[in-house]
Amino acid sequence: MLFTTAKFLGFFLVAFSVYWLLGRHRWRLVWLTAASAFFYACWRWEFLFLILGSTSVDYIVAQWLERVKDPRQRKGLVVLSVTINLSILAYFKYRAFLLEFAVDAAHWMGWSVPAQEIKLFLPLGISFYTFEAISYVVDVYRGKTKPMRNPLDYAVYIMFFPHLVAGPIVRPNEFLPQLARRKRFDWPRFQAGVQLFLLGLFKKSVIADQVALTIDPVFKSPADFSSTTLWLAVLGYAVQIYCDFSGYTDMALGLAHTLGFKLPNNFNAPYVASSPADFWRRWHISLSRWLRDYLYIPLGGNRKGPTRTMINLFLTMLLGGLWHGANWTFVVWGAYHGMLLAVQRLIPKSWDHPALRPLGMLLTFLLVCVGWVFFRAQTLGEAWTILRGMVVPTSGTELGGDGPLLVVTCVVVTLIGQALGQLGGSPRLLFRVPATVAGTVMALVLTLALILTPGDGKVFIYFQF
Amino acid sequence: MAVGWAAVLFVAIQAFAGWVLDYARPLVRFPTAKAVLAVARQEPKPPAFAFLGSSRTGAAIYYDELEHALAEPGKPAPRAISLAVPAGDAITMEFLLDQLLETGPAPQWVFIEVSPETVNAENTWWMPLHVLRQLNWEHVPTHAVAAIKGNAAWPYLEARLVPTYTFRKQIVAETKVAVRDWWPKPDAKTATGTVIGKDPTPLPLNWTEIIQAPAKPANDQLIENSRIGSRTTIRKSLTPYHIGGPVVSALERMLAKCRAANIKVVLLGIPTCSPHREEYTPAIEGDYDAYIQRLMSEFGCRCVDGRDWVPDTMFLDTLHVDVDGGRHFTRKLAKEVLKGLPVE
Repeated sequence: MLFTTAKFLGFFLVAFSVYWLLGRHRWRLVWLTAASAFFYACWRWEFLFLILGSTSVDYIVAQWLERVKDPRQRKGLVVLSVTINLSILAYFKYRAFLLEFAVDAAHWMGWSVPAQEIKLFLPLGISFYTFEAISYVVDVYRGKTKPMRNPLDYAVYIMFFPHLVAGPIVRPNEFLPQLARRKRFDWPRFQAGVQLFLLGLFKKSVIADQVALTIDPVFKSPADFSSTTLWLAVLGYAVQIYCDFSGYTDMALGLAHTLGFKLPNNFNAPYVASSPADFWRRWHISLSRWLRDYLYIPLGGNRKGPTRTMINLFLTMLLGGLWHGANWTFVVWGAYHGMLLAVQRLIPKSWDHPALRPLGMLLTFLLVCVGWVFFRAQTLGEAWTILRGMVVPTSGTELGGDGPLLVVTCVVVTLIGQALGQLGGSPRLLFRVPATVAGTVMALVLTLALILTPGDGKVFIYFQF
Repeated sequence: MAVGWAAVLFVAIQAFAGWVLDYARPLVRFPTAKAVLAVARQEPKPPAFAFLGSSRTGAAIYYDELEHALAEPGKPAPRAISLAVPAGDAITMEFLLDQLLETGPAPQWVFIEVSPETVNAENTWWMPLHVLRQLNWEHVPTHAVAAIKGNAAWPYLEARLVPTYTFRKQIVAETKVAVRDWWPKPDAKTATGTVIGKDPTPLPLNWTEIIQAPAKPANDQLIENSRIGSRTTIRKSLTPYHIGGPVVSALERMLAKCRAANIKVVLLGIPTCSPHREEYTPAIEGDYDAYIQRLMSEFGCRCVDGRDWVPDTMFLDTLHVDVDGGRHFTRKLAKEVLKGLPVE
């Protein structure tokens, strides 16, 4: 059930109306849990048991952690919980990849091993809710969060449908206090939620999906296309993935607002970042923070000298890449960003001069686009074909019709949008204008989104992770 | 307040867009009708014959063949135009006839495709397309039941409530054309005399492309395929059988409009393969013949039954004749029917 479909709209109208009609806070939470379970079951109901089973472990472990005082036992409990979570994730997400790797390695060593084919459905949102469950147990262990007494609160934290399938990755101390407060319907907040939802809908349906229609054939057979087209496709993909993922996030944040909840922001104009480190402070912020707090800092962070810092950065990004998917392209993408972050540490601080910032932005954008080649390509061979075509002038098929104009327009609109966002233009602007003007803008955005969407039910890119 | 205003404005935009698409620019919703009408409107004077029908008629009539067969020494051959569109039944044909009567050119003779299955009240084959192409708010009371039966209730509702979404592709295509027309273009001639920058001449529908029949198999396999197709699709469209429903109402309204506009009508049974015809039981044929007789006496129209005029080996599939079949049918129609019709 995609946020952009009429089916979801119907579901949400019912969920929203009943939620606010229920008088008691507890009843609302029960309703939210039921609605979230229904939302998840609409995709594959069997995996509802998986999400309930796997996250129940963390709930029980957190309860034990409160009672157990022995540090070794406490550590053991956390290790148990994290191991179970990561094992389930590995089973569904990396089993085929690891087996394929083992078979390839065996072939390389001259052993004859029959190829194995494993077809497993990846439970929707497993990477996201697994990280949320881990952060809950670790935060309880560290004493940053108290374990939840009521399983209902925990269920809402994990299963709250706006963030269930593709984040943002919510931290316990951001979300749990909101569950304790009784919600009151608030019109300005509702308006903010609707505005965010419409902004996300526009980004996803109009920009991301339209660009995808144009550039997908290029990534399908990159060897057939010219250098200019490959550049356009890569720039187009940079815009597509941003508008797709940030569009989803905007919709998730908007939906949560209409129900009286605040989810953490995931994007802050990433393509105006002036360095790779700055980019990761602006792109998929909830994942970057998670990796920093639960991986990079436990590895030692920057406390163990410059060389170890660079190794830690590299390892963190490598695992971050692997989190995205079981494919060498994601491993290389993660390693590439790890390398960029490590190299950045070698650049003297004095280079961070305001006059050099535009150059830094341009360079960062280009470096990020190169990274997207690995992220988008199906294989490393294809990624190499694209990169070679971008560097070595190659003749081949050109994008036909309005394709080039569409891609260039979307790139320019997205970059201008991000630059304006940095200068203070934001959806909040609509609160400073008369209600009729704000309403007119919202109605026009919705109408435009409906007219310009290809409407072919293209799923969000991050649903596959 | 802002959200309320947005909701009101959005509803108003949808209502306005719906009105424009339903009444001011109805052909936006129906691109193939727009295409055939554009070709028809190029005729310098009212044509002698117009053929209204579905892809069956589209595949069965060859206009160059018709012109050749009707040509007489020293006289220009009477002109014929095609108003056949995919998935066309009387509901579609009435829409096209209305457009033609409104702006011309009005023909002297109209050939209307008829068949036992299209006048069956229980057959709702084309409702999913009708709700998108021709039906408006005013059709809801008379066509809602057929839309529900034909699994077209949701698209009908969507097309009525959020037309800017349902017809988004047509709106975008029309807007692009409008922008291109408005954009100043160089109007220069090439060495071959072709004028660059002028709008292209409208072309008739390419039925081979529309029908998309698979490669034609050997004759015995073709007949077996037709038999299987007839047993599944045609039998379903004839069971249960009783004449009536919105298609029949549209057909009768159309005949009345032709009579009022002094256009003479021929009801034309388009060729079908023998496995298809075998699905018409004696009871169905009896009801159908009686109904056609009633139409002929009530509206003064003629009927030509060409259902068995083309051998089975000249079919592409259960419903459509191939090129040889189409040319064969056209020649026979011209020789045995059209030549005998008085034209001015």
